[in-house]
Amino acid sequence: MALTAAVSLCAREASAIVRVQLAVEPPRPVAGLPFRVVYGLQIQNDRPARATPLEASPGLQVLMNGGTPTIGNFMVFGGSGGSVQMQSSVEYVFVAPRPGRYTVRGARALASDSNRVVAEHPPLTIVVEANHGQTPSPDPQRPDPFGGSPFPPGIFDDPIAPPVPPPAPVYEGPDVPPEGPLTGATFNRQGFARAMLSAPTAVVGEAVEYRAWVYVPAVEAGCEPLQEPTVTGFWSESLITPRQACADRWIPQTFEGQGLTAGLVRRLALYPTRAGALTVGPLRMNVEYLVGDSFFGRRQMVPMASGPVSLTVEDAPLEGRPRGYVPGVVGPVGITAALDRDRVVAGETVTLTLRLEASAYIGSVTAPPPALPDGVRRLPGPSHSEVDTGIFPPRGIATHTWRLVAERPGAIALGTYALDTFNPSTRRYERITAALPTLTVTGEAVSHPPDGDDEDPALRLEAFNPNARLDRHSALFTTPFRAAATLAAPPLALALWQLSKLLKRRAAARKSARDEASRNDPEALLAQSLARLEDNDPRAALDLAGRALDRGRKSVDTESTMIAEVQRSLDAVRFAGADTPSNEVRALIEQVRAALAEAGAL
Amino acid sequence: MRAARSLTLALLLAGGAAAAVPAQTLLSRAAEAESRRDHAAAARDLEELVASGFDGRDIVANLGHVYTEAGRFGEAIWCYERVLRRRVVDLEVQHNLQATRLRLARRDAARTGRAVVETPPPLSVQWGELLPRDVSVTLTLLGELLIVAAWAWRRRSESEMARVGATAALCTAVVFTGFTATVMLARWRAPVESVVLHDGLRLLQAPRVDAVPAEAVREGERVTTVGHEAGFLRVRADHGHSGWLRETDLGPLGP
Repeated sequence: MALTAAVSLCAREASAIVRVQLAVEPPRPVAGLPFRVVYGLQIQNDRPARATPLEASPGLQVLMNGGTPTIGNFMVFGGSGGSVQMQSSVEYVFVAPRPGRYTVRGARALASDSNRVVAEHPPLTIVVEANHGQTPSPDPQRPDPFGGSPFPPGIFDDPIAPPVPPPAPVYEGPDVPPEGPLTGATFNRQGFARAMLSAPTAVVGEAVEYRAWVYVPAVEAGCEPLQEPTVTGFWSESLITPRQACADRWIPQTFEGQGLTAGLVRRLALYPTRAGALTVGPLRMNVEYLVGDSFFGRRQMVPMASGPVSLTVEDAPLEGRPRGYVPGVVGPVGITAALDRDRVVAGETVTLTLRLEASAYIGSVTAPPPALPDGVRRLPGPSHSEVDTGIFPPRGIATHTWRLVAERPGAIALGTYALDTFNPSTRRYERITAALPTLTVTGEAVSHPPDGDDEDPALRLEAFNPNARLDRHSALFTTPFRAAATLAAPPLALALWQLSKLLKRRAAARKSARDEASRNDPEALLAQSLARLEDNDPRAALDLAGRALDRGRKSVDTESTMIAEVQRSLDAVRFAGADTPSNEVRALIEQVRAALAEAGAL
Repeated sequence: MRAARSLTLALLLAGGAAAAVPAQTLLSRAAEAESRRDHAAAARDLEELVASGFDGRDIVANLGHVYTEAGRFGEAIWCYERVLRRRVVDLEVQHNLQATRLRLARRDAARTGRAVVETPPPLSVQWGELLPRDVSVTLTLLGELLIVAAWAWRRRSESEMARVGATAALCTAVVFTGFTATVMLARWRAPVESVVLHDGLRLLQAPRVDAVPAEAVREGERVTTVGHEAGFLRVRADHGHSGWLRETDLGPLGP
């Protein structure tokens, strides 16, 4: 067991650590035999530091002075949290002539720029035991002062064996960036993203591969995806799992005299679902890589975006299209058919499974049902589709099933299933066939009521109407104002009608009141009386004068002698019955006026 | 100069007139293409008809039929929804809409193992869709007139029997008018909705083509429009998330 001690001192930043460590091998040295002390320096996320040499206590002979560990000889990237960790160690060999306690001191680290002590190991006391005839081990293994190093084996071995140069790799395959002029990207010395499609045109359903690479001026990089490419109009399947580490391998590339490495970051199988010009959106990500050498280098983050890429998609051509062609069946297509069992009792159900395999996406294709011989009834069954991305190129797989009911005994040959496909590579329609198995039916024949149709009625569409009316849709109430105005009309009309009725009623009442008032007003009655007199109707004039006198007397509500006298004179003339001269009548009217005026009734 | 401009304009107009295909020819061509199962060609002819203004029930329903046969389920659903919003009852189109949704669900189920046939809109939206807008306004107007007539009849009725009958008519008219008026108001107050036309769409986080895509929306799904900006609509989907979609990927449902 190695005697290991460590001291850590945090400097400047909470995450910056400088650690000085000493380890003794063997842990209990023996007098007269050499032992080793490994002096290690570890720096994590801090500026470079330098170590000071060890000092041995008197009596301890130094057989080999390893000097000081120097950061820069070895580097390790990574560690927890992605920090940068550097460590180095040297070896001292001591021998103690006698048993006893010895001390090794002076293990400390100084900041390179300020010579400030950033870490220091306390003096290491070594207990040397008496020699009882032991001999030195032939090749003692050097201890690791850090208790398990992430360095590969041999990196601390001294001397380091010269590395054997690996054979130059050969980069081949569709995932390797294409040679030649740079397309699908804009060159940037700090790095750029590039996206390409495997073909500029395709037929609906035909597979097209989308690849995106990241080019960086470093041996590797890390990626932070910001935006995946939009694939509107496509059914897409990812052919690689997006990784934080960007790419599995980095391939050297040279553009405009600059050495770069390219890594494949996205690979999608795209299947256009409609005709037209379709666009795959840009891929955006932040890419981080190391600039400079591994010791003094710094991390740099560069935002990158691939340009959008376009694809022209067309339908399968009309020329030569078979009548039964199902749109979307793009070949070449492999087809197999199987029954779940080939012997069945009449009336029982067997399942016919038809499996289509194509390099295109056939998930949207509904395979036409097979034509069956007499005595076999077909019922609809489920379907399923998937894309097998485990092989290259990916395969679209569609499985259609039908339930068959055999109704007569015997060996029934189900015939052949035929499907028309369009092959984009040959630009021709082809017919593929699959032999259906023979079904052996036992038992007695059964019959069923003819239903005439085996298609799922829920999926059947009402027929296309070739005699459709060529009319235009028009709406009357297109704005809320129109509707509100229309709906307000009846209540408004009703309200206006009621209002007019009310006004009329009030006007009639007012007129009636006015007439009543005029009928009872002595002044008005006298004026009417004079008017009648002018019309040569003295009798009516006298009547009106009498009424005026009567209303006046009632209005003042007091008895006046003058009114009484005038009343008597008036009554005398009225009841005389003879024609009274108009001047007398006029005089009487004036007396009535005077009497009423005196009584205050006028 | 003016003469040259007039001549150019006349030639352009003449060329345009010569290039226009009569509506009946377009319909015949569409029917012929559909008979030979060339759904794409039939759809193009019917789309041209609709763009020419022939957007009556039959043409739009035929277009939906062709879209369904061509596997363009989102656009088919949009056509059927447009027809149904204009008519009180259309069993044929309702059946086609349901069949299209089932086909779409089967396709999704075959792809991913799960599918949604239809998600009902909120009750207020359903209530507003009981009657088309024109019909609801007209019936409300009719209801108002019935209320006035019943009220007048009740006032003028002299016998007890006539008064009871007039009161019953008045109550019926009030209930009827209340129903049509609430349907009409629900229709007016309903949010502006659209149908997702295409497959594989995701809500964008900004109104840009290269914006970051977020949650997916289903083809044929109804979304609520809550904003508009430069060729993009901000929509709220069934799952409650909001985002931007291109206008060309949405079919607006009219009044």
